[in-house]
Amino acid sequence: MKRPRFTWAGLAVVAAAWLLLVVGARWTAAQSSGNCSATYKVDMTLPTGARWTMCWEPRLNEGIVLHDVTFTPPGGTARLVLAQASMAQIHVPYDDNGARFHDVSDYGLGGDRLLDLAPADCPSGTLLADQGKDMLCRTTVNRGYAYKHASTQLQGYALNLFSVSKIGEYNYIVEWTFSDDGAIEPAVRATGQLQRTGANPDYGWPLDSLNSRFGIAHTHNYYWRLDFDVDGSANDVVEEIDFTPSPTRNSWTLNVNELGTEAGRQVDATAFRFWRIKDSSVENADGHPISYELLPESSNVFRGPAYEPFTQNEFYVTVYNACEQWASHNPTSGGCGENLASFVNGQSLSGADLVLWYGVAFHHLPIEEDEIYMNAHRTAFTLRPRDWTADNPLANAGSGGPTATSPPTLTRTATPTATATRTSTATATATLTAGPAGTATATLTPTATQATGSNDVFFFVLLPVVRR
Amino acid sequence: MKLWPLLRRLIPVGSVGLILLITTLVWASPERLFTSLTGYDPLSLEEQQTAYTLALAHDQVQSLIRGQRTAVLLVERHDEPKSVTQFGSWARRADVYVYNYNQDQLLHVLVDLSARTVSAVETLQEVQLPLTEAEVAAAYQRVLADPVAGGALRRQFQAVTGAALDQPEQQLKYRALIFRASAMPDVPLGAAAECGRRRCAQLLIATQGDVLIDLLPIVDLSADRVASASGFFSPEAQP
Repeated sequence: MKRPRFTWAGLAVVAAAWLLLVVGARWTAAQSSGNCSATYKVDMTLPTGARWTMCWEPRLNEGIVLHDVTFTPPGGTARLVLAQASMAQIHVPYDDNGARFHDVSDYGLGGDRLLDLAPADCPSGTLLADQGKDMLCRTTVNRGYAYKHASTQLQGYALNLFSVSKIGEYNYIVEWTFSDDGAIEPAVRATGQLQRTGANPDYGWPLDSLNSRFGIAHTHNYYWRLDFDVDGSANDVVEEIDFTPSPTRNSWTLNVNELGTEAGRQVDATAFRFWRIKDSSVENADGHPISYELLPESSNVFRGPAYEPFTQNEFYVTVYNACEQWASHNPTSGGCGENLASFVNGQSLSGADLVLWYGVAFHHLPIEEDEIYMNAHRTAFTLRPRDWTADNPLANAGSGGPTATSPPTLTRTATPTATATRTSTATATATLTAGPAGTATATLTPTATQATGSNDVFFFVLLPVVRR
Repeated sequence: MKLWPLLRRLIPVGSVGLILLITTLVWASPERLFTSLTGYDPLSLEEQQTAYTLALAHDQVQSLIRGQRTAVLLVERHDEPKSVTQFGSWARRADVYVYNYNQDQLLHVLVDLSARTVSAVETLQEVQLPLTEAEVAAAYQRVLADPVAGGALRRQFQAVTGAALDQPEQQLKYRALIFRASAMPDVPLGAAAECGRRRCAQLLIATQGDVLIDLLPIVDLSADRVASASGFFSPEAQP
């Protein structure tokens, strides 16, 4: 038996094969799938097996706009959730009526307002760029217990995306969190520095030892436009769900009311009110229509003057109209409404393509600690599946059976600290025919992995063995 | 002839090195080499330049802007309605927006980048896109040059810093947003009452040391004048 002998020709063949393999793989990864190219696509399979895909686009007014948001539960079916999602206004009226800003329409969250993020802004995440500007941070975050029962527990994970828009002295961190249980949490964190101070104690809080300079109180009314297409735009229906107490208030009756025409509705925390959008023709295995519900956040409620009618409700459902973009100061050319209140004009929702709008208020009475840098204040609400599946699709990912996509294991040490360690191993083998000179076998061993989709760095060590 | 044995050894080594270099480049940035923009992808710089050139060369656009004080405000991907996107693919199209300060018109030019043609031209009233960097700088210079607004700014600067405002470029920083009269119909707006129909900028000013200046002056960019020296808030803060 001849001893294998190294030859340059053999190595060149292996290198050529390597070239084909790498170029082919990266070409495939870079091709567009869906309605955007790889640069503007997020495709994240979380450690528990749930998958989120979407396209992102920077726009001058809205900042980052998300398109075609699709959720696949572990082992389940990929379904479209949102055709488009974005901020629709940040309305900032000051308590002294000295300024009433409408930031999305009048300042813009995009363009040069979108900050170029440094790696330090996005620790353990990946920065996504448009034209060389790193403007979106994509991270996988551990969200703690997905559930815990008896001896079973599961650590849940989420895809987190955020951008930062500098608006005056403020920085708005616009954030979207997509969890492995299907929940979506739109959020804004307000930080930076105070925009206005004054001398009138009726409208502010003292910020100096002389009690002469007051941080003027104001409200951040955040509005989102959520163009839901539950498994497509057809057959979507919106229901308002709340509860009526009995006369003695010792029992509560469930009310489910389908909204028949465009509507603006108020939060009602005392009635546990929320809304859902369901597809009336697509059912889960139990025969129940799939839906997403909007769980409101109502610790602050802002009701403004008559000339701000859009502040009279928090929740709106409208028939899709391409010109209806922003909650206020919407362009009126072509007969379009100027704000949410005028979008609601009696159109029937039956058989229509529906858009949900939601607003959350954060009333900010400054504190001395706001200077010199305001700690980020987070305002958020939740969208989550209701009956998307017939039972919990994360149930099989619990601590009973670790798999190749098992979540990080928590290692308890003798000290009071705990260390989260991500473990992942996989081996790919490729057999490459090298022509008359012989056969080349390349063993590909990943030395580092990141569960962040097909475009992330995935290094292989090539071990060529050539024989004559 | 003596070189051949050396070359015979160097060619494979060089080839392997070249291949490794190519694979490294491909791995590092596949999008630059392989990606073509599609769907919701924002416009590339080249697409923006093409849209801009086609729009401004169009006869109807030329006739609308000739002799007028204008500025290109934005070139952005045309946000296609769902009646278009529902079919899964669509042409690359761009919106080019040009503001005519003399007429207070926003000129919207829809450019088909695939066909390299202008698809539509329309003029809009009372549509105000966010301010450009040049407009913000012009508004700030207008305030500095204005006796009333500039004076108020200097007094405020002196009050909060104890120093004279003698080198504004080094001492102040500024931003601005569109001001519309409809946002504050219940205060006496004076010369700013036409803002919205006209293009107005409200300035947010702070010192380079991050101390706020308690003024929100408004500049009417259409008329190229200050519309309000301080904005509209509590009287004790007025100059």
